Amino acid sequence: MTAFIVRRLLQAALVIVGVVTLVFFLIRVSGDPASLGVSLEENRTQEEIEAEYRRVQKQLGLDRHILIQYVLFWGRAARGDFGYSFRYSIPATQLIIDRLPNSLRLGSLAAAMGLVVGLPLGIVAALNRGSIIDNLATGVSVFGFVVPQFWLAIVLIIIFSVHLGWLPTSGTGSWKHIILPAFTLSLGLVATVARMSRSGMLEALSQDYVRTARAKGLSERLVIFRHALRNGSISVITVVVSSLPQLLGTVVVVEVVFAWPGVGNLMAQAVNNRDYPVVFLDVLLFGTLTVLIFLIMDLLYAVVDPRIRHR
Amino acid sequence: MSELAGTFDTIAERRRTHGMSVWRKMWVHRLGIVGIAIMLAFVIGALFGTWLAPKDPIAIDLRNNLKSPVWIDPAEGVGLLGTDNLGRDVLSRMLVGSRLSLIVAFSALVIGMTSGVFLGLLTGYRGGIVDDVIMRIADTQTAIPFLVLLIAVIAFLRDFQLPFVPSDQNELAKMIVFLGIGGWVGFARLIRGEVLSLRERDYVQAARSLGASDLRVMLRHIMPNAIQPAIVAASLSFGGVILTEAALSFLGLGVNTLVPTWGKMISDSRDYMTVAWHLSFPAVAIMLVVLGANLLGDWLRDILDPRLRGRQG
Repeated sequence: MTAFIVRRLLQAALVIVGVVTLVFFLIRVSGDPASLGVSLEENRTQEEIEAEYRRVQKQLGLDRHILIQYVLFWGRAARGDFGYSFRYSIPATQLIIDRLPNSLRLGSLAAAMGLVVGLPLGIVAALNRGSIIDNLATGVSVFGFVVPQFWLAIVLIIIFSVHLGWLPTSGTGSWKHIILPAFTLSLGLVATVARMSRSGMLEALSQDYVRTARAKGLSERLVIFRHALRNGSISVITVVVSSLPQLLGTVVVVEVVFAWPGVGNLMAQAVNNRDYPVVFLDVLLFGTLTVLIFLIMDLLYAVVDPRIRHR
Repeated sequence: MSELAGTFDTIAERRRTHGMSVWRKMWVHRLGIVGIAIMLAFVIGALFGTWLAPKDPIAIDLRNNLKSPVWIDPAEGVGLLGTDNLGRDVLSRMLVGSRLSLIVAFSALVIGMTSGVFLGLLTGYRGGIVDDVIMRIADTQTAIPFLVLLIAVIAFLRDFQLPFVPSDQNELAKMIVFLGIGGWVGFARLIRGEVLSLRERDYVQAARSLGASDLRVMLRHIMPNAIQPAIVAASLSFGGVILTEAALSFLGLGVNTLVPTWGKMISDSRDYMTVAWHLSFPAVAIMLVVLGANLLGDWLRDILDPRLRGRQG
């Protein structure tokens, strides 16, 4: 087990190094960050501008060879220094740290809603195949899959904020502010979880041990809760955890529509402001979160299923 | 006589079941047929949109802006699907814009599938260090949520000019390439898995021992047998590409064209949707085409790979 954990941790670290490298070189392709740091006031001479350009270039370390820059970058990153935001002139890490709790609050609520709604929906649908609930579950899954989230968000704002006036349109403050964004964010997850838990449950119900349990005369409740549900839950948990990264991508869109002050919204703003250090750190954050999610899933899976450890 | 009547009865019976079996077949594949019909309708709309459009999609008519569809408001309404904030006909814009939306999604898929299939064949067949390097790159790419990665790439490469592309088409071409490159990982993993199992089959060994080159074995013997799941995956991911393009347009990272994609149409009209709900029709089009592509994909999977039948259902 220890060997498995070590191997898996190394893999995860390698992927994160890959993410950093990828984004580092992407930024360098994007153009000259030093030119963004030079103010072009009218009463300055060409020499003054060039002098400042060189100063900024030196300050950012851009006058050295790109591979040296890359090595130096790792050195700074190891100390938690990811540069200053071009726009706010404070460390990019500070901006992210300020916004992250908001996103985590929104994301975890959406994940919880996705589970609390999706899981029972899928299981009940599987138990009553062809019933109204089954059709409802299919309908929700299909809708959650095909709807453009930002359009749904606009529609929800129009219905619940503009016409009914029940909920605020955007921003943060009271608990009411989080309902619409969390709902929008959770819908895709509800769809995935309901679909997957339904098919997982159907598969579990068709297994031999369920037939045996029925044959020996157990009540239907015991068959479902003690045998089918318990065994089907492994695959369902896997599916749920592995669909969380999908949530991370949607976070950006949802936070923008509802002006939610989280890391996704920060990223969209930073992109429009060409605030590259912030974009960089944001991508790194999303990447790390995804890697962590998959890591936790693999470890959980190895705990549950010993065969995995020896692959 | 009675014998003859019996024969007739049998024939009639057979005819009836025969007739039923066609309908039953259609009933079994009803969702696939719906999917095909939806996709056909949209392809026709995309191909002939410029002729089908009742009005000029870019003609501005400020006296008639934000008018409801004519079937909602017979007195004041303008056009089948109403007009937008500049009085342009929504239906005409959607019809003409459908070409762009579908071309973007389709070309992106072709790029993703071609590169993914090629790299999947290469890694699966060769193994070794090539496999390791390419698969670690794949891991890295999947570690970043697709939309986040695209946002970063589009932002960083804003000023990047693609080679061999006229500068007025650059933005569009970049969007297609970026969306396409995002898709290679899935195809590569799929094909790689297939290749790994096909590589050791007898007929491949036979071809190799007859002196066929690696390239020939890969393209003539392995690929045709490995490609089916990729085709299914392509049609299943078509909807995802359309939705991603729409989300990017919403974030202001889409392509600027005279007649925009559906995604851009929705994001352009977000401020007016409170007063003109009919501006949501592009969203309906997106949902329909995503639905159609998925029904088509499910159906393809069912007929191409009976092993997977009923997995989702």
